[in-house]
Amino acid sequence: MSIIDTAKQAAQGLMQGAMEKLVPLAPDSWIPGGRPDPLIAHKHGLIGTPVSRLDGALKVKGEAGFAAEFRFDDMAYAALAYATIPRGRITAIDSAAAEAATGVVLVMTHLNAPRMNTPGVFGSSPTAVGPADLPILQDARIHWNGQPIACVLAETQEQADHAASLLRFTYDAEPSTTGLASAKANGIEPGLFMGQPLHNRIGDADAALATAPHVVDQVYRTPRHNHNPIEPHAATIAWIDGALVIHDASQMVTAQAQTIGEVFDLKPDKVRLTSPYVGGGFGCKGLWDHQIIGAAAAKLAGRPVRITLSREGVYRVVGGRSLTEQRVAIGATAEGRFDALVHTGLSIMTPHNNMPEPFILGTRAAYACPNISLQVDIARMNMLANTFMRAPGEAVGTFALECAVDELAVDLGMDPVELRILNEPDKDPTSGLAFSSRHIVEAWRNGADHFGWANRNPEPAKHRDGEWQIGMGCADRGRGGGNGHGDLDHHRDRRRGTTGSVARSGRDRLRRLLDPGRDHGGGIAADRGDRCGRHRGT
Amino acid sequence: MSFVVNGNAVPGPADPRVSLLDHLRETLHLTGTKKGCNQGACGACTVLVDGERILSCLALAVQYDGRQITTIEGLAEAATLHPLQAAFIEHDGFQCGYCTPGQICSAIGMAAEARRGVPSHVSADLAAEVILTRDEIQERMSGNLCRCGAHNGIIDAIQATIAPAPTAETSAEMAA
Amino acid sequence: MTPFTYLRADTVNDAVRLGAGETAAFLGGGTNIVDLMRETVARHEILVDVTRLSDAVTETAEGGLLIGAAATNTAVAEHNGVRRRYPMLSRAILAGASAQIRNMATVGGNLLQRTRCTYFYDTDGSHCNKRAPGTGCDAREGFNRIHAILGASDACVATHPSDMCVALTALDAIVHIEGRDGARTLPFGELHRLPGDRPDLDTVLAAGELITAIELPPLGVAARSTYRKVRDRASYAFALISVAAALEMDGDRISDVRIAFGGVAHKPWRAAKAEAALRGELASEAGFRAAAAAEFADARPLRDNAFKPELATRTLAAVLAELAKGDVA
Repeated sequence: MSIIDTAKQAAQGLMQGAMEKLVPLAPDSWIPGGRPDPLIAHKHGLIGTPVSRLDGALKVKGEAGFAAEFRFDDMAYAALAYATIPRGRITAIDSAAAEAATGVVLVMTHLNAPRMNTPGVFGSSPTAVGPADLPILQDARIHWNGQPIACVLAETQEQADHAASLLRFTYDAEPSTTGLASAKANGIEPGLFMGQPLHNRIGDADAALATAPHVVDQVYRTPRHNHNPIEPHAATIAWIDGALVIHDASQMVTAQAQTIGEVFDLKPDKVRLTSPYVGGGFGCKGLWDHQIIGAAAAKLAGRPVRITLSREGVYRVVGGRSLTEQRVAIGATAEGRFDALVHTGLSIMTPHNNMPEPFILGTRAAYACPNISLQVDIARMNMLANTFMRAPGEAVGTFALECAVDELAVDLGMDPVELRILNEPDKDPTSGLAFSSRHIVEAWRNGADHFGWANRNPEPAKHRDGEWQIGMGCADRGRGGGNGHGDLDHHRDRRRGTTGSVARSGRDRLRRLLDPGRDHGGGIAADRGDRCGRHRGT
Repeated sequence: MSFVVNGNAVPGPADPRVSLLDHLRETLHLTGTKKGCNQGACGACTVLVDGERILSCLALAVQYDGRQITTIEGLAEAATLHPLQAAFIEHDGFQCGYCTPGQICSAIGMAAEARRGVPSHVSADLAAEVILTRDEIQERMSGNLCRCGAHNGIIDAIQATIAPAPTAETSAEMAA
Repeated sequence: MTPFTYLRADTVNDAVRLGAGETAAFLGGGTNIVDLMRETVARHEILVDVTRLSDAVTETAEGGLLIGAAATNTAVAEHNGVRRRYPMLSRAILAGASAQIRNMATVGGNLLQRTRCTYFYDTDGSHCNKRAPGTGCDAREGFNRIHAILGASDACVATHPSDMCVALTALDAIVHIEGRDGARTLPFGELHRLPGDRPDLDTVLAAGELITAIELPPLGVAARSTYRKVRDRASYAFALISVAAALEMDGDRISDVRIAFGGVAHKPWRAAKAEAALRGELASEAGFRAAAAAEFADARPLRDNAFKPELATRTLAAVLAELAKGDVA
C-alpha cells in the first residue's frame, strides 16, 4: 500500500498509526498533501522575541467580539432544562405553565424538535467532533444526569430562564452506573485513544518486578475535573437562505462546522461557523448539545437564536477530564536503575463516547527501563461524556508516575533528582526512536541550581517558616513526539505549512490572511501573522 | 428611571429582573463587560459606579437610578488608550481577553480605594497609609479570576501604572 | 427569576409599610438575594429597596458607634472609628467576599444572608429542610466540609457564612429593628437562631421587620482585637473556621477576653465557656488550648469536617498568642 493510499484511509485510527510510522522516516516531500515549510531550516531568531499581541488593543478595549456578542435582528433567547436522573426515560412533560409565561416563543422538547441526525462522535471519522454517539432531542431517553431535555425560547433571557424553571418532567428511572465500583463490576475493556491501543509491552515487567531488590507499587486516584473556561459556552445562530450561520466559540472550527452540517443534512458550503475569539478553551470549546439545540430551535421558530450556557449549564452539558485509578510499580536495582516499570489502570468513559484518559502517554518516553508494561483500560459510567482537558493523559499520568519515582527515591535513600537523571533514556524506551531534542537533564541541573536544591532538608516536616511548613519537591513531564494527537498535528503543520490558510493580496498590497484557526489566548494571530510575514518577507 | 453610562444618559429596563450587566450588553449593546459566571464569583462583569467598582451581574439595573456608570468602553479617550489599557498590552496582562475588561475596571476602582486609604485583608496596620505592594495588589484584585493564568502580567501592568504608592500624576491619570 | 415588583423606600416608615407581607423582602446591595432569586431558591414577589435609608456611621452619646444598616461593608471597614476602636470588625469585613462585593453589600443584608450549603442551593432534587421544610437534610450524610459542629440538629447542619457577624457577636453589638408594631432593640447574639426543628427560620425577626442600624457599645477591650479566617484559598472564600477575639492583659494575666467563632454553627458562636476559662488566667498556649477544648467539648463533627475542632483550637491559640504579644494594630 502506498503512502498516498494510506493517507486516503478514512478511519482516523488507521491513519494515525500509519502517520506514527511515516513521520519520523519520510522525507518532508513525501508527507501527503504538502510541501516542506521553508522556514524549518532557517534560523531566524524570531521565536522568543517579545511581540505585543495583534489583538491586544481590541481586547483591552472590550471590542473583541465573543460568541454571545453577535446579534441578529428578531433574535430569541434560549434557556435549557436538564434531566435530573442518570438513566431512563421521560414519561411526561408538563410545559403548560412555561408555554403560557410572558414572552415565551416556544418550548422545544423531543416531542416537537426537528428530525436531526446523530452528530458523528469524536474519533468516528477524521472530521467528526461530536460529543457522544447520542441523538439530541430525538427521543425520550436519558443518558446522564444533566442532559438537556428542553429548550425554551423567549423574547428576553430573563423570560426564557423563568419559563424553563416552570417545566416539570416525570421520569421512569432505570438502573444506572455512577460509581467506580459498579463501573468495574460491569466489565473492563482495553482503552483505545484516537484509534490506537493504549498499550506498550517491552520485555517482561512483571517478572522483573518480582525479583527487583527495591520496589514501589502504589495506586493513585485522580478525580473528575470539570472544565471552567471563563467564557461560558455560547452560540448566536441564524438560518439564512437555507444556510446555517453560527457565531460560536470553537477550538476546531472546520470540523465543528462539518459535524454540525451533517446533523442537518447540510453540505459544507451551507454552514458558516465563525469563532474569532474564544474566552478560554483548554480542550472543551468544541461541539456539545447546545449548539445543535440552538440551531434546531432557530429552525423551529423561524428566528435567530442566542443560546448561552449558565455556569451550571457548563457543568451539565460540557464534559471534563475523566477520573482515573492508576497503578504505578517500579522495580529498581540497588544503585537505583529501573529494571521494571508498570503503569496500568483504569479510566472511565460513557457507553457513547471514546475518550479514555490516556494517562500512559507521558510514561512512554519518560525513563530508561528494559521491562515496561503500560496499559489503560476503561470501564463505563452513565455520565456526561468526558473529553480532552489540558494535557490529556499527561496531566494525571505524570502525577502518578512522578509520585512513584519520589517514593522509590525514599526507599533507595537517593536524591529524587539524581534518581531521575540516572534513569534518563538515550532513546525513546517504547518506540526505540531517537529523540529529536531532549534537554531534561539540563533542565534538572539548572532547576536544582536555581532553587538551591542541594540545600534542602530531604526529611519531610522539618523546615518551618513561622507558621508554615516549607517543602521542596520535583517532577518532570516529558512530551514524547508522535505519541499524542497534539504532537501529530504539530508535525503535520510543520511539514505542510499552516493548515488551511489562504493568503490574498489586494491591489494596495495589503496582505490579509484568512485562517480558520482560532485564538483562544495562545497568541496565534500574532504567531500566524509573524510566520506569514516571514514567509513573504514582510 | 435612568442612569448615565460613559457620559450618556440612558433609560433603565422595564423588567426589574434585568441585571446591570445584561442591560449593558443586550439593550445598550455595550458588550465589553463580560458575563463569566453570573453569580458574583469571577469579576469579569466589574464596572465602575460613581468611581467605585461593583459586580454588574449582581446589580439590578433598576437600583442604579441617577448613578454614573463607567464601563471598559468609556475608558479610552478617542484613539488614546487609558494608561492601564496600554500597560496591559505592554506587559501581556491577558491571553484570551475575556476577563480583561473586568480586570481593568477593577484595577481602576482599586486604585481609588487605595488613594482613599482603604485597608485590605493583608494590610499589617489598618490605619497606615496604603502602599500597593505586590501582595496588596494580589489581595485587592482577588475578586477577578483569570483562567488563562495571565496574573503575573496583570499585576505587572497594574504595578507599572499605579506604582507602589499613587503619585499625584498617576492619580490624575487614573481619575481621567 | 420569578417576576417581581420593585419598590424603593425613601424612609423607614415607607419601608416597613411596603415590606409588610409574606411575599415581600428587603433589598440591600443584592449580592445574596439576587443570586438566590436567580437560582429560584427565593421567589419573592416584592422587593423593597432600602439602600437609600441611613448609611451613616455616627458616634453615640455613650461613646460607641451607630452604623446605619444601609452602610456598605467597605464604608464600615474603612471608617476610622471602626479601624481604631473595633479593629476586629474592620478585619472581619475585609476578610469577606471580594472588594467589588464589599462595595455593594450592606450591613443589613450581610446579617440576613443565607447559608451557602450546596444542598440548600440545589433545587434540582436535594432534600433541604431549610429551603423546603419537612423534606430532609442531605448534608448530614453528604458533602459537609463547611457545615456545623456545634448547635446543629437532626433537621439541619448548615453554618452562617458571615464574617462581619462573628465580630459583631464578640462585640456585643445591638440590633435596631423597626416593624409595624414599632421599634425595638435586640442583643446581637439573639438575632440568629439555632436550627432546632425550624431550620427554615434563620432569625427571630417577624415578617416585615426591618433592621435599621447596628450599635456598637463602647468596649475598651475591643481596641486590642483581631479576626482570623482559615479557608481553602488565601482570599475570596468562605471560612472553614474563623475567630474574632479581643484581649485585655493585666501583666501576664488575662483581665478581659471576647471570643466568637465562625464556620462552626448555624449562627456565629459566642465562646462563653472559653472566655470564662480564660478570664483571670495566665496567658499560655496550654491555657488557650484548654479554653478551646472546653468550648468544643460538645462538638459533633461530620464525615467531612472532623478537622474543625482541632483547627478551631489551633486558630484560637494563634490569635490569642498574637493579641497577648500586643503585635496587632
